[in-house]
Amino acid sequence: MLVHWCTPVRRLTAPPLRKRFFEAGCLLLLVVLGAGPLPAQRGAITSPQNLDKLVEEAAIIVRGHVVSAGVEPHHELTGLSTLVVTLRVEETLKGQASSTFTFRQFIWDVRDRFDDAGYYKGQHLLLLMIKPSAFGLSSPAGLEQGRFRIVRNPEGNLVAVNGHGNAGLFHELAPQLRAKGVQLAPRLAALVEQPTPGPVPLDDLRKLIRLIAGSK
Amino acid sequence: MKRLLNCRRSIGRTAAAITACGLLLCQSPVQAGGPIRVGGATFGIQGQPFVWDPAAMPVKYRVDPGPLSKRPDGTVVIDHAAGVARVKSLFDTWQNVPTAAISYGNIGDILPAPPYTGGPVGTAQNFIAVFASCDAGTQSPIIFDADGSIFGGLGLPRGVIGFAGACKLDPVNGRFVSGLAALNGRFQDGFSVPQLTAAEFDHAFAHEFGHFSGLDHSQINVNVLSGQPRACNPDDLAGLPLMFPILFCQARSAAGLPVLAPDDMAWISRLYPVTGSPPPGKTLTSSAYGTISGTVFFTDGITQAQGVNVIAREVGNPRRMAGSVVSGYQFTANLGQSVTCTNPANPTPQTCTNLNGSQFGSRDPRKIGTYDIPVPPGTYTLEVESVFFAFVGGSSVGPLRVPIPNPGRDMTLPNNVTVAAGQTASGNDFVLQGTPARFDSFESARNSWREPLPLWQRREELLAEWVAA
Repeated sequence: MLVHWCTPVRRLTAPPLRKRFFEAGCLLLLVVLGAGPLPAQRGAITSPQNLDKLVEEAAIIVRGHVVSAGVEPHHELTGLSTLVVTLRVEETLKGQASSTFTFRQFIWDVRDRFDDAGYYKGQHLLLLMIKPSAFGLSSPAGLEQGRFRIVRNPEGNLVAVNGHGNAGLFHELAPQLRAKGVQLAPRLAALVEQPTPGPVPLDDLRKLIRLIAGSK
Repeated sequence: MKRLLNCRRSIGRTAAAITACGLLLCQSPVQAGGPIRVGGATFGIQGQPFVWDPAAMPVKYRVDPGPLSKRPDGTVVIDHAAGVARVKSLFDTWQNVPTAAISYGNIGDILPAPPYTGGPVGTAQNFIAVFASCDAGTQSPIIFDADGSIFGGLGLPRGVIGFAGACKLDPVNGRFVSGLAALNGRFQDGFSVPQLTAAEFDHAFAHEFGHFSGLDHSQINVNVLSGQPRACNPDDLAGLPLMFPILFCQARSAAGLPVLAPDDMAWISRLYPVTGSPPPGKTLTSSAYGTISGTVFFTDGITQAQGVNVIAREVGNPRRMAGSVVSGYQFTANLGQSVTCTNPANPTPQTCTNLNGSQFGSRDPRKIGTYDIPVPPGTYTLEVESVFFAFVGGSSVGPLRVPIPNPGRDMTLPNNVTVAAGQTASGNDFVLQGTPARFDSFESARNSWREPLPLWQRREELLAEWVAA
């Protein structure tokens, strides 16, 4: 549908207003494409977890851009389709990662095999990854809840949103952090009190994750 | 009629635009607001939902011979017999819909699939073998991961309660051949963290068995996401489909509500209608449901809009009694392209169209923006809204894997719609307001079509039409 707004219009010269619509439509399309899909693994149902629980379960938290993504058979578990994703790491918020980070994830749905579960080259992500299993398989904590895509909002600032639209991300987080003795700056305290789901500023999310990861 | 003619004229242009859209967004195979899979041009029956074969009921499944739940120390919390009863009860949730002709039957333990030789599946290696047998269409297994060790071996996070879906499809008749569900007993062991109440666990798997049966997600009362988890307003919860994409509210049964919302019951009845002479306990679907249908258009009133959520709410009971579907749910999300051919010497629909496109979803451009909602007889308001922006991929609602914002403004049709049982109230079209114009303000969409009259004469013709209107 968005392409309608961007399809070059034939023949007649566009009046300025239409041009603005056209440019706005193209910009929106670019934002959407840049944001990219952030699918969960299909057909799974997960328990809602707040940021504290997600960070706690994650063994490594990295931010970076996808370098490659593809479906490969597992070397040991014959017949198992796995998704192999490599990121160029720009920041490590928990654990240790080198300049690239690769993980292998189990996928069961034929649609995920078709589209690499929505991972694609160039995608900017913040991933909260659990410790790999004995078979070298790993996934984001809470599946789609631990997989944040990073995009620019209309003001040009980077924001992050997970596959639940951040719904429940801060649920009961404030008392849990207080219990851990984590002191939040007023801005972050206000953020975690907000009940409305939606993208959150990346910088704020990074700070929160660092605080939680650094707490006992 | 005029709209129909204009629509036909716009078909090719719209199809091309949608094709480009599909290519740009790299859509995956179609999902729909009602059915989870819709047949494509050469896969299944075009435009028709994939369903289990109504002539081969019950749907036959096999159950893991192990316990449903046990603690890390090996203490069994929910034994095999109780687990089997639990699964049956969850399938019964769907089977007991009086207007749905679907039933399920447990035909025994999961069959061996080397290297799995029988007994509790228990390990990731055994799971993979059983999974492969489902892919081959040999069996539809229900797997108990009693202590979470299968999920752990597969590298899934501890928050995964389970998963389900179709394994093998019959591409000729548009049927499901086999399906699988895996239940994580850790959530019921009374020991691990997090735990779910029995009602929440059952809620989750009744949802998964809805997918198993062929239902997609539905979006009604999405405003609940602005509240607190597990504390949704009772009226909103009553209308909130079990097939809502994420587990956010308290379990419906825990709030004293039936497990299935009106939308769930309507859509399972649509996929598996009771026809002919109803067996005991069943009711003719056509005696209990009517249909509200129409098309969602862009502001030009010609170009159809796919991916807009349409909700019918009963007048006087709008939060509790509601049905929905996403416009264009029968249409493909990815047409592919027809510019190149894999075999130009033998140009056929198979070799020269749909390249890299989805195998699912109709190619009939008249279905790009159409909708039809099954509802009990009554009077309804009709509204459109965006699919929630975060319902992507595994959480998606409707045909588009990545939801689009409603291209126009959210709106409610000015006139209520009354529908009787067995009847279709059609023509309830939405013309979205505020979508950017595709053409110059002096030009009509129809002018993009090659017509016998020159442009200036067509403008004269259009002017006359406008004046007449």
